[in-house]
Amino acid sequence: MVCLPALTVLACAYVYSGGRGMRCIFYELTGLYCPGCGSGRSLYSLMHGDWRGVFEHNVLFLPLGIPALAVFLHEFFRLMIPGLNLKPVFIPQWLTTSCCILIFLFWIARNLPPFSFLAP
Amino acid sequence: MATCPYCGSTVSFNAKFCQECGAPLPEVPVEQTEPAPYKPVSFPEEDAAPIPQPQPTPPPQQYNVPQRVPPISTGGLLAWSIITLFLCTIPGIVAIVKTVGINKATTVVEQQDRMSSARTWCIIGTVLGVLSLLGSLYSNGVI
Repeated sequence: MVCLPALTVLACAYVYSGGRGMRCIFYELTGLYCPGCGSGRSLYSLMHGDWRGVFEHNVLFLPLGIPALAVFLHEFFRLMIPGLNLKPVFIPQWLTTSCCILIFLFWIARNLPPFSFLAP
Repeated sequence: MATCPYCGSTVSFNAKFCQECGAPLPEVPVEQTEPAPYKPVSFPEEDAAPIPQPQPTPPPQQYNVPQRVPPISTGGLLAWSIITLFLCTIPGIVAIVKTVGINKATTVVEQQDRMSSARTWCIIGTVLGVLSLLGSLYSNGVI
């Protein structure tokens, strides 16, 4: 848990330097796109200010990934540094369930021909 | 009223001498009627209506009232699950599904078990994702 911020910085530095994104094991085994496919390229586009590219590679990366990273870091520092007196983040049950359903629908849709625009 | 056995005149029932002839009248024995012995009235058993036995009260119905367990903060775990999803899909999906079910638990123990399970899947997905990232870094000559 302590090395996660350092690893995140390393990964961002790697992506910014133009390195090839991580290989998706699910895609290599099944030939189907997973919900995370294209997130590395989306992060690369975000770092270079290519907003169109952010949504082209993975449309869920910006609305889900960035808030998730922010909440994760908030909770991480709340637990690691109690002196900050940060309040825990309470997410309503309906929002949690909606995120889960949205991810499943996105996963299925991006592998269907009519929704090929969702594929990376 | 009685009759004198000597002169045949009518005399009173309890008289001791006849008022006509003066002859002594025989004593009439008084029938002693004893009170009938007490016989308890008994109803024939075959005609007696059966005493209804009190029906045992059925046990109170136990409805499956869902227990309300105070919800716990799952924001951090949900965020971690989403990040794990982007790092490694399958453990991330499982972690998200487990996180959704945390606050639907009916007991505190079940809630803690689900939270622990979601955390475990997040750790698995994070480790696999980090290994994949390190593999990519190595294959590209960064490290």
